[in-house]
Amino acid sequence: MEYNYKQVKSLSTGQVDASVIIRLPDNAWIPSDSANTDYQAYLKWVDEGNTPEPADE
Amino acid sequence: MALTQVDQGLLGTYAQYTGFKNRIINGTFGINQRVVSGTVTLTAGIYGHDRFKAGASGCTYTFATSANITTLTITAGSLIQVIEGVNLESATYTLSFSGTAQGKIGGGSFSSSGVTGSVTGGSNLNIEFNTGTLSLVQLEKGSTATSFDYRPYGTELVLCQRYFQKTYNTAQAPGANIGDIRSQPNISVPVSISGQALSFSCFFKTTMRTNATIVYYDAAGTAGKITGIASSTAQTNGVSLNDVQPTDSAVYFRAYDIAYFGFGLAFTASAEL
Repeated sequence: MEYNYKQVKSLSTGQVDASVIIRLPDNAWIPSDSANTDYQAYLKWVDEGNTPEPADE
Repeated sequence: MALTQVDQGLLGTYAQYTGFKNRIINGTFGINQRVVSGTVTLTAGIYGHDRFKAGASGCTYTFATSANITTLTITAGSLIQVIEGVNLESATYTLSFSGTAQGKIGGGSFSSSGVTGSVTGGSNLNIEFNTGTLSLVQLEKGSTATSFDYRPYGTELVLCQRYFQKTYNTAQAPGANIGDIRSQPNISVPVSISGQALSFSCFFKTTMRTNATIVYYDAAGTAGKITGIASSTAQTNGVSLNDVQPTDSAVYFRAYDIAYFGFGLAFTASAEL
């Protein structure tokens, strides 16, 4: 299955929240946890040269 | 009478009846939280029955339950269970199962029931099956297959929920249309003062393997949306949620929307391997 990803903006800081990433199109919130296999898949996707969509303003 | 001697022969005979010898979870395929049905077609890495995912070429199978025994018929690809390393000790293990499929332990070769293999404790281990029929899957320490370790349904469900769980009722598939969310006691419907942000946490049914991936749904089953409660009689689907922070034991949600008195949602949490 092909996925894309999207960043999340922290409500408290207004900056990109590095603790989670959203997987599209199923809108899964994936924690930045190296033991989480979904996060491992995201890191692999980034290593392949992909870039997540920016967070909503 | 004091016990002064253990008959090793009897110990060997009766040991096969002791519980929790099976390192496979959901070896009966009795747990199906994703409510897969009919012909199940999975792309690589996607889960069907609890704890079983498609192999590198995907997997297609059907299944039937008779007298409380569920049998899969794998028609294409392969099915894998990854056993978490924390549940394995270094030893020789035996993989047994009923049916015509062939199984393998780790990087070994596919073979009929009674496959043995050397396992390294603490490392995750793939157990894989190719096409054919399959039921009563068991991986146990030792070089001999013994009787299947039947565990209570509730126990097996909790074991599965370390890796995947949902707020839906048992028979509801994730993403199902659940109608009026206010009548769903398993869905969080917190109430707040309109015009304020709403934050709430939901504790998982059991602690998960690691910080979990969360997919949330509104009452119509749309992923990434929640349901706003505008009054005692009105609900609106398709409302956005602003923040989700999962750990291995709970998930925190936060929503900003002045139009609603409360919010409802359903979610799944996944910490699969």
